[in-house]
Amino acid sequence: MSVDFAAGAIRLVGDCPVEDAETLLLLLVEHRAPVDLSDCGHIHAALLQILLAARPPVQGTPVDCFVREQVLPLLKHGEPAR
Amino acid sequence: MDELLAQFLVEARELIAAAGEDLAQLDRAPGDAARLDRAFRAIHTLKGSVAIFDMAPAGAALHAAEDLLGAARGGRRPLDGTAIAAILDCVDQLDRWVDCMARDGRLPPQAAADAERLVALIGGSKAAAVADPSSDWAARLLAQVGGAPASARVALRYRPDPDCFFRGDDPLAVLAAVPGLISLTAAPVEPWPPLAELQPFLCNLRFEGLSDAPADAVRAALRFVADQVEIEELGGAPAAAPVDAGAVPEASRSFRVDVALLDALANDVGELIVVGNALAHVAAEADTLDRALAARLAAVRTTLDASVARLRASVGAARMTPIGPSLRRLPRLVREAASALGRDLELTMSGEGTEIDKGIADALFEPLLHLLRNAVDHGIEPAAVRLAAGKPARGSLRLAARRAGDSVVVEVADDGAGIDPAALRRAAVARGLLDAEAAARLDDQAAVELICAPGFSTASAVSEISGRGVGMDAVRAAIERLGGRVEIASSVGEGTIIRLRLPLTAVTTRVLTVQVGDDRYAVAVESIVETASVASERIVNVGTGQAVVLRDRTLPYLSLAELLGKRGGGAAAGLLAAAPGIAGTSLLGDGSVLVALDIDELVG
Repeated sequence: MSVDFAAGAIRLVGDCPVEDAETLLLLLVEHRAPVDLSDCGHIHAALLQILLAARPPVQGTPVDCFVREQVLPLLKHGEPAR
Repeated sequence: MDELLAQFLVEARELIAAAGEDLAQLDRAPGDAARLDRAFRAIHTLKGSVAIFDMAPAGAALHAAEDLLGAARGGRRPLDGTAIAAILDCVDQLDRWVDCMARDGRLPPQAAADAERLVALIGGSKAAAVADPSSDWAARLLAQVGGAPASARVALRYRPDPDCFFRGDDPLAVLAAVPGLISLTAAPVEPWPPLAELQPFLCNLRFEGLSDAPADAVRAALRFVADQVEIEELGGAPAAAPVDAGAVPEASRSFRVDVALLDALANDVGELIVVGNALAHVAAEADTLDRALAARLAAVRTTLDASVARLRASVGAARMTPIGPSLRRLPRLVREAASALGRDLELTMSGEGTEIDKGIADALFEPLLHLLRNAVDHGIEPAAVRLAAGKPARGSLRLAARRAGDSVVVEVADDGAGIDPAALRRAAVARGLLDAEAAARLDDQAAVELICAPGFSTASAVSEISGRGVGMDAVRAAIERLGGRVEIASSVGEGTIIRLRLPLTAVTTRVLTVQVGDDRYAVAVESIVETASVASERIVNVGTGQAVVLRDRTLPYLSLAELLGKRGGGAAAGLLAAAPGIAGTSLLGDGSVLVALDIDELVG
């Protein structure tokens, strides 16, 4: 289980495979909480898609270099996507 | 079967289902360019595939369909409902032809005539090259990032297939492997829907990026998704996206495995568990001879158990598959049923990405087909009846799968006539299943559930479609064999929901072993509410039976020895497997047979 909800934030922990997409979506629909990427490794594109659609505030710096340098900026990019 | 043909059958069915879905959506939203593109590509790929086999009529029909879609794609001829229906006809026919290829290895004799009819239907529109609008995406991308960083050598655009997640693709993993990526943007292809309606397993992303690596290196990293990628070299002539069809995939992360192999693997893991249990017995015996040796044996066994548990989890995971492929042939069969019965309806499917054990997924097709045909036949009313009842003329049929905790729920819901409990009560009495008094005592929900009673059929006339002697009782039996259960919710005039609740993985039942005399029996942990130690003097006679009072509640007391005695327990286990009250058998570590009891049946 690499997606959980604790202390008011949704945490992505470790490598998050496509199976986590539904859990993440449910949590975001239910809680509209910030997403904490501090312990996050690689995330599957299905999770990125959900984060782009939901635009929650994101916290923390991912462990995975690609996610930190290329994916995180997509999530922090100011304007919500169309 | 020829390996090439076997692979074709699998892929053709996937493409046919995908094209069918896209065409059905296009019928609703004719302007959907992404759908049109996908339908075109699916038909195009199918045309290429059938050319390898002796399927010339199929090739001719697909060629006509491709032309029509190509013309629509090029904006030269809008697709209307008639055109879409014609192409759908072609896809449905191809589906039947693929069935023939699977069964007979060749097309039926009338295939040529069928193809001619289809080509005529589609209108045999003239072939025309589809001119792709020249895109300025690379220029726009450069403008967006504020001019090309001096080092940027390649611009790339990557539009993953919407269903790429189902194939196990991870576009982000693909991009992470692109060398020298210096900028990446991601945007939705279609505007994002409200979050609650987002389809988490359909990819709606388009990526654009810049790389400072040589174009060849970027192409190499993207070779497995070459058909979904455009690459432009900056500062040079725009290069066409390379489609390196001849490349041998050397590092593919997934491949197809014969299910029989997975079944064998699962069986072997089962054997391994038995061996592990046997080791426990050996350790116990050794304990009387040499305690140190016994301790070492016990340690080895613990390690073995842990490994086997991990192995079992991995095999279980390998057997998990999206439920979608098992459902793919259903839309066509529903369309056929609807047209045979003259019903106007729309089938929507969701949750195709929900994963479930392969064995369960495969066993679901028949029950679901039966439920859907039932809904078409007995649920959805004819258009005139619907209009008179103030409903839209077109009925709605929904097939939805979703994960719910440790189970997968598959629902078939219609907005049809619903099940009338009063009619079921009358029918049950008429068929002698219940007397009038018992029927009257049933509440509405219990009456609705009568539909699952063996031999119960509510249709006043048995029709061609759903009246083939397979009733709801067969559906229920099939689902229960898989370790699942059937729930029914129905409301007269509003519709019916049949919910199949299925285990996520093929069931390994955890049991509690109990001993009666010299024999040991197993009781499924799920059927145990509580174990309690009760002094024998607290067992009291009540009427003809016995009872105990536990925390102020009087509970019936039954002796397992007596229950088994009545049923001649202790006979050979192999013969017992089909006897009432027996759920199954298992081997114990010492080689003896453990009989698993079905408590409900035993007590009931």
